[in-house]
Amino acid sequence: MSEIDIGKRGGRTANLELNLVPFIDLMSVLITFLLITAVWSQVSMIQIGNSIMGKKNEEQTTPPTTAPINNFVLRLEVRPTGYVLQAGREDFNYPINQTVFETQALAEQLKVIKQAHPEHNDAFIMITNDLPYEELIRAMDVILKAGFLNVQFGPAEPG
Amino acid sequence: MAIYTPGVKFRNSKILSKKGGKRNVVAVLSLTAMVDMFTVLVVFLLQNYGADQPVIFVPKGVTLPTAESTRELKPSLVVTITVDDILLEKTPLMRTADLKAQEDWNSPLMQEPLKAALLGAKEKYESTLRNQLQKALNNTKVEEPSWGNITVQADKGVDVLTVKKVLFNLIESGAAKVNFAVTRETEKLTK
Repeated sequence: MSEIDIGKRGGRTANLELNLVPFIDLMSVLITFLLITAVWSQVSMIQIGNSIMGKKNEEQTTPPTTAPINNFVLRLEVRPTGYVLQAGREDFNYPINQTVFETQALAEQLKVIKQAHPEHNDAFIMITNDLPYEELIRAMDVILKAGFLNVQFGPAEPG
Repeated sequence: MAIYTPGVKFRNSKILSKKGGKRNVVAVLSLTAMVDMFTVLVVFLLQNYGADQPVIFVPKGVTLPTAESTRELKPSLVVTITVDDILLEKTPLMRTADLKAQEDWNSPLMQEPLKAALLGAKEKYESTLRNQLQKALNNTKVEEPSWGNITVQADKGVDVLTVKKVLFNLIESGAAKVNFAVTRETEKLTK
């Protein structure tokens, strides 16, 4: 096994042998255990805001209303043609680029809006029913990244 | 000129050449590199090991969407929407196509098992010693009950209408909070 030369003692060269077998055994068992139990894909979650989908006896097509601060409402419509962002009285259109949504441009605009309204945390998403679920998560992610932490999502489609 | 006996010679090998005479041959195996590699591997795996993170069962054929601004997953009931079926934990509730096709968003096939599962989760939550103690002490700072939380994990290709209908039925069944399970994406380097 591994030898350590600790110099001469009493005229003889002293070699100290370090037994590495138990250490290697332990390492092998540890590595096997950790490799088997390792979680390679990190699954986490996105939380939806409080008022979603409405309650019983409410009309399904009525979107939940957000409580506006200073008459400011942030609403993102995800349509097959692209994003339509309504921030207060301003509207921003981001038409789809071939098959890709203009997520980067939307994210930059949302950051500008957040800087102008730092006290506002609510956002509302409306999405067309035919779109894949991935687009909903992408839109929610962009809004959350911009700092609007209370993202709500309703059953109604953009009109 | 020297005369050598015929046969294979190992003149360059200290071990196999007969220069050693009658002494025993000791082959020294250097384990340093292997031990180093093992140590690095163990440190890396231990760093990535999340003992407190709940592991969610992602069925085969379900590809979760990716997101950057996420929160840690908390233990809760899991509703899975695959392209074919809708499952509560691992029990199939109904076909995805059937829910998509029906005009009425209310689905008793989904709501009945969900109500029973939420009731079971509530009883389990209330029966834990910690919560009983909190109740007995009449602590005003009671934590938000977690039994009503539901995690929805849907395949990224499922249409939004199906997800909306599932969410509607979850809320109707008494779910308090609904979370979407996503695969955590590491933040891209900004310019």
